[in-house]
Amino acid sequence: MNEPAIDIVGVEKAYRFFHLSNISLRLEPGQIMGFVGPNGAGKSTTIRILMGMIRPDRGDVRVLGHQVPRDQAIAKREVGYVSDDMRLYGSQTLAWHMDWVAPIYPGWDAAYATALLKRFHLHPAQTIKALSHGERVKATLLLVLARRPRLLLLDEPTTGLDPVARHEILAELMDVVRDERRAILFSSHNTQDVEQISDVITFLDRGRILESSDTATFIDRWRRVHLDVPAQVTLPDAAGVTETQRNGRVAVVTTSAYTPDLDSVYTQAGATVQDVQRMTLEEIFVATVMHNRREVAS
Amino acid sequence: MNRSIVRHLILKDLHLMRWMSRSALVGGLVAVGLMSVSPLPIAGGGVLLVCALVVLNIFLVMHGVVQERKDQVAVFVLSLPVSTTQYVAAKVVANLIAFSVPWLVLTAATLVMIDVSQMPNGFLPFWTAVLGYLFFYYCVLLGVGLMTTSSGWHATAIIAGNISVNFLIMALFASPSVQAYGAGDTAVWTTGMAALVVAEIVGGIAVLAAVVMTHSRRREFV
Amino acid sequence: MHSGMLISQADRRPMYVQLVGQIRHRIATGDWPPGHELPSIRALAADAHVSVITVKRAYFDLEREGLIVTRQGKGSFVAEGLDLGSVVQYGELDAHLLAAAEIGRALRLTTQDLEQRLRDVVATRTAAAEKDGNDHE
Repeated sequence: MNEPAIDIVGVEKAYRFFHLSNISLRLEPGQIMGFVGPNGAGKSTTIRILMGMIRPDRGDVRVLGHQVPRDQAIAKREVGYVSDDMRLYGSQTLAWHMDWVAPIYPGWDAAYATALLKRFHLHPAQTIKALSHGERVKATLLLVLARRPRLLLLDEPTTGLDPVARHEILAELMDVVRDERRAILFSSHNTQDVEQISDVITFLDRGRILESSDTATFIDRWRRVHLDVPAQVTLPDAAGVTETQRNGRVAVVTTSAYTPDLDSVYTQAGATVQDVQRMTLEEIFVATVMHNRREVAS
Repeated sequence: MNRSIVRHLILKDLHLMRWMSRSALVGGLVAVGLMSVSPLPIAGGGVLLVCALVVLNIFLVMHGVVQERKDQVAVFVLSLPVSTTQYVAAKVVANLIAFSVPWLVLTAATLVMIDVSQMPNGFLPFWTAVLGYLFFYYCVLLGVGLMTTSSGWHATAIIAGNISVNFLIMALFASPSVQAYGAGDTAVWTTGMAALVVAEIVGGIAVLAAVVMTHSRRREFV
Repeated sequence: MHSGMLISQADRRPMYVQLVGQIRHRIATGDWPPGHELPSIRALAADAHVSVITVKRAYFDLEREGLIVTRQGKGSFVAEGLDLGSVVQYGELDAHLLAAAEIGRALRLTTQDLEQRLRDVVATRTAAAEKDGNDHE
């Protein structure tokens, strides 16, 4: 059973003011994919499409080998979905939810559920509406983790959480991929988390995928080159440069395709390389989106 | 697995709505009791009976169906191994049961009460038609609740519904058949009355079926 | 068995570089003796809270340095017959290279300039050694 955990081909979905276009991506078992993009980029919509809650206008969606939305009930037996706008029954307790959800899944691990209660510092007798935001997220996640699903779809799992809660959740998520048959797709604004634990990163902006590749090589391609450029020197165009900021003699070149040859290109043109800096995922994220928007506008 | 998840959802909804159903039933039975000792066929107990069923109707639809969508609890339920069609089906069935059981019991209680008490049996068709209309009103409101989360539409439906209930009661009371046979000792079913009751029940179910069919084909569920 | 690897967010070096450094340290101090089995890639990824490919890259680099060996289907092990001294020396080599790079940057040399300079220096040294050899014959 080596089918991909997620296989999306050519998905399109048109709304009045928003258009999801040509979405294709693949997630293999054992992988963690980070889904990054500004608000309104289409991350939540894509995940909802994976869950069968939204039917695309075009395209093929397969989750754990099952076609969605047609066979969504079967696919969801092994999928755990948590989104930041999802709510549990406020008037009921966490224990009630656990007792209600457990019989639905043959894979429910009661011992693990109890362990998670302790690790997350949750009290099963508490009603959901009495929980803080962080506790509520952890409770919802517990209901998903305890049944050890093969695929986890997480929409902003750590947004709005304090650092301790984030750490607790990340630890449990990392535990999931000890099993190479399980996969995780999570969307997040927290680029630090994405950078740290994702094997693959997919960038979305305005309904389009800008980039989808493995994290290390992706981040490795980007640099900020700081140059000292004498007044009469024009900087040559170089492939992969997304932005050049020049202020008098000081220039900063942002490039998505860095090789040491680039240094020579600039040196030969008469400029001097002061520093070559790696970029964090957050910086890359902003640079990518801004560049893409400028291209679209022109 | 297919049917058991639907059953699991239905039982959950019935569990969450149980207090409302029980209180409506108790309140309604009290109302029927009051009706049995009251000299007037509508005032007092009658009003209370109608109220109990209308309140149950509104609560079941607003709390049991609409609130779940607004609160995004529906997203949680849909994250379980259930299709959108199964979700709607389970909602409708559970909600129908939660309303129909008290409604059936209260309708039966009313008819029996009219028969054994000093209220003239001539009012049996009248009360059957009123109670039948409350079922129809429930089906329509449930349909509206399934189709939209807009509180504007819900408010409109509830106001129109309540006004129509009052209207219907007055119109029925003033109708020739009720005026002619109401005070009598035997129930007289004119074809008009019989047709009305049938239309109410069948119409209600038809409205619900139509909504469920179109609703299940929606392309965006949340 | 928690491996105790900790990746620092504040450290701007790539995560796999940090991992390589920490593993090399354990080998050099004898904490992980020759033949010691390294944690599986997934287990270490889960412990250190980093992606699987980060660990894969670290193990790949360590194998290239000769510090570990990977046996197909069995896992990765600290290399036998390792001269612990050489392990430490790799660390020292990296430190020297980094220092050279810093000086090069101050002199406004590109990476290619630095590489050329290294080649020139090594060639000069090789030529001098050969001359010494010839002289002694």
